Amino acid sequence: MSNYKLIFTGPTGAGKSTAIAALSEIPVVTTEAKSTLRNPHQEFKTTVTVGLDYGLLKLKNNDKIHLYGTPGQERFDFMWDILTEGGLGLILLIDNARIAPLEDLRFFLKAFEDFIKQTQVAVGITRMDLSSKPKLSEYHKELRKLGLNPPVFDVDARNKKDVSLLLQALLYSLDPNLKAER
Amino acid sequence: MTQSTTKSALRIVAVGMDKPTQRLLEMVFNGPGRGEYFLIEQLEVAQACIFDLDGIEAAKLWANYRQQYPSLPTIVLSLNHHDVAGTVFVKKPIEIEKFLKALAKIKQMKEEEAATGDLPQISVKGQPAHLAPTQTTREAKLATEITVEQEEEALHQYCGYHSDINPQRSEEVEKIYYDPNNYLQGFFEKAFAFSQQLETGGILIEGLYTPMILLSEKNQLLCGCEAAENQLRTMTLLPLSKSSHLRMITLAETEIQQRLATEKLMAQSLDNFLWKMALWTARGKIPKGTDLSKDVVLVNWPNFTRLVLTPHALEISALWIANPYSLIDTAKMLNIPQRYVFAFFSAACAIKLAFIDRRTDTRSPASSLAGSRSEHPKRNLFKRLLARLRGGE
Repeated sequence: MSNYKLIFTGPTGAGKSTAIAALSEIPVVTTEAKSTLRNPHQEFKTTVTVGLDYGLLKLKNNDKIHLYGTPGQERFDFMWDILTEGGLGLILLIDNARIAPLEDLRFFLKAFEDFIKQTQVAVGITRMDLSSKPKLSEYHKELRKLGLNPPVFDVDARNKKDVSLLLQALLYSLDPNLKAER
Repeated sequence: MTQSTTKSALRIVAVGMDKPTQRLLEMVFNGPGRGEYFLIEQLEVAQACIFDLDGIEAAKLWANYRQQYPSLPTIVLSLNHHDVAGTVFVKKPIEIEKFLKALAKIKQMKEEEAATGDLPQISVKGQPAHLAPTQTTREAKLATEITVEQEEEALHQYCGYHSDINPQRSEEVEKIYYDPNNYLQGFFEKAFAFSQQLETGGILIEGLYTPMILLSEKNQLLCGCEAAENQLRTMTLLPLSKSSHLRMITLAETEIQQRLATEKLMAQSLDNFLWKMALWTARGKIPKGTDLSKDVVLVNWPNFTRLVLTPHALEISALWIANPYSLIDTAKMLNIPQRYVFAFFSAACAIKLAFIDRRTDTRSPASSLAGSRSEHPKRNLFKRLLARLRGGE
């Protein structure tokens, strides 16, 4: 039995905890507290992840994939390097209803630059139903400026199929000659 | 009746069908039906009938109809396996080829009837005429089998049935091409390109079973709520005739708002619409003129969470993003049927995400494949994780 980890990151409220919950086969362990920050676009979100989220996927041979969600707030970014150590790849979730989603994208790509170079990233844009702009094409344009061309999908973090497809695309990006085991 | 109707055309009445579907029937009769059939409204003078068994009160309607016209040759249309004795059954969504065969069968029955004076019966071995012949077997069939059959059918609608071709044999190569301009797809691609040039407003398309409005800036297609997928799929398969009544009209923003306020218009993703339309039209073929020996450039990953996911689409995307390959080499490298690569390419072309890189020199297959990526050290783990994700969906 071996242990591996996948990292979910993105700004507060982008849906990291929800996405991990969609995939995890155990109840997600979340360390949340009442929010001290006010965000006019996220009135419904009264808690923030101050530690990390944790979920688990078990494979047939008992290998375990640990799903870690980074704390969303920058004041916890000291944990990010520790978390990514030995990680398989990065799922970056961006909340399209925040004030400057493209800036969020740039910020997180920069923060995880080394990890992305070693592995791959797949980007999920959440809450596009509330805010259709920026469009996916604008994200691609921004990514191309940084020399990246990863999967970028419109994602509903509550939808298991959406999150699963994003993760599958990450796996294919890591190994384009991959085939699922039958 | 239209001008293209022939003298011996069969008079057909449609029962249980709405107007847009009847209009579609007329298009089939005049197009691939070559004017050998025409639609009439009076049952009393009809020589044959097409009956939709999926309507709200279809069962009651059917009982009345059969009581009054017990021997009128009838084509039954249904989503389910309603094999009704004495009728010709066509399963929905309707495939043109099968529908045309059913029409030909009905016509033959009428001709035989005229020759002998009797109405030929469709024989059903060992079954009384009033019983549905496949009822028992249908009930015995597992629901999972039916689901698999439906999935396979959907797959064929998107990717066709074609076997792999040998690119060295020109007669085989010819068969994999289609010309989008001959179909509704080409018209919509033009309308899409036109709408992209507009700073505001959109393009209204008239002449279909429902008006449609393209809003490229919002990546939206607005259409009447009666816009059923089956009707659209059938239309995508019909070659556009020169006398097609399709037309594009520019709409100002205020006109769009007015229509939104007064008409029941539903919005759907324009990308998804064009993607699906290309898949239905191409059915595993590629646009005419596509160079099989040159590399494909995939501009970026398609938004797969909101598009129809064809078989191996994720693998193909990852491969082309990592390194461009020709269509034939892609199928070889991934060890998958060529039609899946062709279907994906045609759909990606329709939304301007893929194109052939004409600058690349033609590479020999061997040198092309030699450049493939080496095995990832964690491939076995990724395989198991993929299987877990797919099994758990």
